[in-house]
Amino acid sequence: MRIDLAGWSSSGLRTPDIEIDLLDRNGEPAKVALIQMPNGTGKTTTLELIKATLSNEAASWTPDQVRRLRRRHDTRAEGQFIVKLLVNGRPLTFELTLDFENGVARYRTTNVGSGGIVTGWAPSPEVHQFLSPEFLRLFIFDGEFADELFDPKKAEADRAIDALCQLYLLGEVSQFAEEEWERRSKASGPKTDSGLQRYLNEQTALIKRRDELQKMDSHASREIGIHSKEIADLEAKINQRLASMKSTQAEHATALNALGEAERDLLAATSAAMTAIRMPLAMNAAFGASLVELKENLDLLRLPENTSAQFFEELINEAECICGREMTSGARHEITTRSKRYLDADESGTINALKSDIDKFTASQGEDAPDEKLAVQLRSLGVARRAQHKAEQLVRTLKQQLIDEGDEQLKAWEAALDEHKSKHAEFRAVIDSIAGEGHPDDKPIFSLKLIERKLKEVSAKIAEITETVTLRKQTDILKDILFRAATIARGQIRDELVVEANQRIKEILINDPLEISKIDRSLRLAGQDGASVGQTLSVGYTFLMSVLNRGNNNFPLVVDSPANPIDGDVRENIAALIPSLCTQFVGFTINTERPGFVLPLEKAAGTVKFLTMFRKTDGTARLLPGLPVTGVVQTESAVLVEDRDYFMSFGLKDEKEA
Amino acid sequence: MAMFRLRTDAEAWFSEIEKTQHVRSKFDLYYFCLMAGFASGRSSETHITGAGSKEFIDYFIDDYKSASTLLIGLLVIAEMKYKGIDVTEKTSVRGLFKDIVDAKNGNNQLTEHGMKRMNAYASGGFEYLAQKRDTKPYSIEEFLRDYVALIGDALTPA
Repeated sequence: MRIDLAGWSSSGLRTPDIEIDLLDRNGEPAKVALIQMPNGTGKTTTLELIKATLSNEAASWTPDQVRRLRRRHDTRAEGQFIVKLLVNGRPLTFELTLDFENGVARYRTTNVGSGGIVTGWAPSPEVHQFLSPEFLRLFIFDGEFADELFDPKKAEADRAIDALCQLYLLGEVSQFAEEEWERRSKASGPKTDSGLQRYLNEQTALIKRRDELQKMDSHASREIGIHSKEIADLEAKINQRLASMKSTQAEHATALNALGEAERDLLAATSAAMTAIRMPLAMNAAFGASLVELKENLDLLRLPENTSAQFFEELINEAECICGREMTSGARHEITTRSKRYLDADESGTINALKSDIDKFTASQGEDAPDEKLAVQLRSLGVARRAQHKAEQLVRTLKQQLIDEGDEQLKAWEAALDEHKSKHAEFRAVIDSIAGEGHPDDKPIFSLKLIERKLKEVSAKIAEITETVTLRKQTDILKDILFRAATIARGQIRDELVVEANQRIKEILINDPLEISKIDRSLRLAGQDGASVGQTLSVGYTFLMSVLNRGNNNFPLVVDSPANPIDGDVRENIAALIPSLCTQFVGFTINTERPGFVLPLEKAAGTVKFLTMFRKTDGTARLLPGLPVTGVVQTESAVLVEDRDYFMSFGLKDEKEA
Repeated sequence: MAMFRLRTDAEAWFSEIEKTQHVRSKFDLYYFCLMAGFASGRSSETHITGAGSKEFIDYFIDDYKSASTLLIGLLVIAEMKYKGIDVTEKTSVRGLFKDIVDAKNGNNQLTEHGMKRMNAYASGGFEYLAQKRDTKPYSIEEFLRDYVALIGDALTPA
């Protein structure tokens, strides 16, 4: 299957009223399209709306979420966002209408050739699976997702492999088998057992609770996204205020530098300390001393002995014992019993390995002892932590200073920031609880894992009562086979992807010896715990593009600020690779990303669709006379220009003021 | 096959620092508990079966592979103290190794009993940590420093 993004349009929403067409002159999706939008034009909101329109996500939005997207001072009762796709070349359009008065979202789907216009979100079954929020984030990509690819607690790297290499199909077969068993068990014979109805009710209640928790989880995730964005915006505004006021400007710059440095030092020191702690001998010299004592005592006891249990097992087959006496059945029995007290060859091997490891790890190699090294690392950690506290304290003092001087706006921002942080923590707790193990006595249950465990138990009981035990067992065997097949396939794909991605990373990060050591749910880097933002994004990109390139389905790759946190040389190398790794690339950029990125991308792609968009404001009115003669679309709220030269010359000053 | 088990209350106790990039797996949390168990000599079998704990893996993950034999050695030392085995009693020492080590178990080289005791020390170690700290850890940076100090305290006779 190939899905292309043909374009989108927005009206009456926080994003400018505009229609974006991503098709080239031949009516084919442009291989590469860059949309330059100055900060404040609504890049992030546009991406959110694209995702929401494609995924049916808005159907479960709260009235507040719907109204949040209303443009300020706009009196229209509705806003609309339309996304046009091409599925194997055939148009599929989703319309999302936000009713601000009633706080609800409505969908309409137009599927040319099959079904026409349908009320609601109604993609055909074969497309349906690719439009879930989880799947969409694989090709509508942002920095946050790049971070998650490295988070060992999340399995985003594995999910990407499952989604793009279609391993999810095995899960679907498994689910089908489970549903079929449920259907059979419900339809089986007269339900004479009085307990059956109770178990069926329990099963229904558990399934209902599972659905509720999944909705809660999804709602909390969305809320976290909203509050994270608000927190980031408010922090940026507060920092901007501190940096722009004369009384705090200089000290704020110093504090920010000190904070950045302290955070980098802290990351490095914590990573080093954690790595050291994973070796028991580093934690305290007493562990090493007791192991050395153990080894010395084993040597004194001559353990393991030269005589192994196998010697006695062979001896009982002899006619005579080693002492010359006849091997009677009594002697055989006694020798067999006593031989069990001796170590066998394998056990002896383990003890020898232990002794050898004790020698190896406790031997002085002319360096500081591991515990002394750890002590130094922990002292550095303490120093970095104090420096971080000091810098944070200074920033807090500067904020308070401005508030004391009567800065009401800053005070309001601070209050709003606290509010969003508290909400963020609240929703995070909900997600943690849903992802947690739960306790069997919890009522109501807040853990999805616990629900699954209970469902399994209830299913077994139902199977027993409805005499579908054999089918239950067969279903379990089938599910087990499917699970193992997916595990084995995922393992092989992981190994191949590590090789492929590392090959590309080598080309991209020429000056940076970074390597993926393995994929174990998440991406693991060789020899380091953390990575810079640029490194994370570069490796995340490369990994995702390698998976996209490998799968049988083709999707567009839509990226917010594709080059922003990436350094010059790396930008060029990534840009040169992009066209060969995906069928369609759509990048939302700001003009500072152009250097080192756009030209290599254009060179590799052949042609690029260059779009520049800005809001119509008093500040941008002076840009209007300089617009090109052709390729300009103006609406009441925005200007869209399709022109390479205009794109290339849209200056820093213009953008800052736009 | 016996598996490493982490107490559910321990997982909840570590929940804040588990979110950080420095804690790479549950094994890190288990190891924090286990070393505290070895240091304090505390073992507890109350929570190592049933719903009070959860199996999470049956092998030493890469981060701990090189230390795995040393951890088994520390288990032997802890058990010798626990059972009052004199280091000169060859038969008892040999018997202890046989109880704990299963060289044919390629995953973790532990017998069922060895794994049970390993989990008991992790459980006891968690109790020691939770008892010694007023609150659950909220910052990995601060926890690491406190943790190493607590291990030191446990190893130093009062």
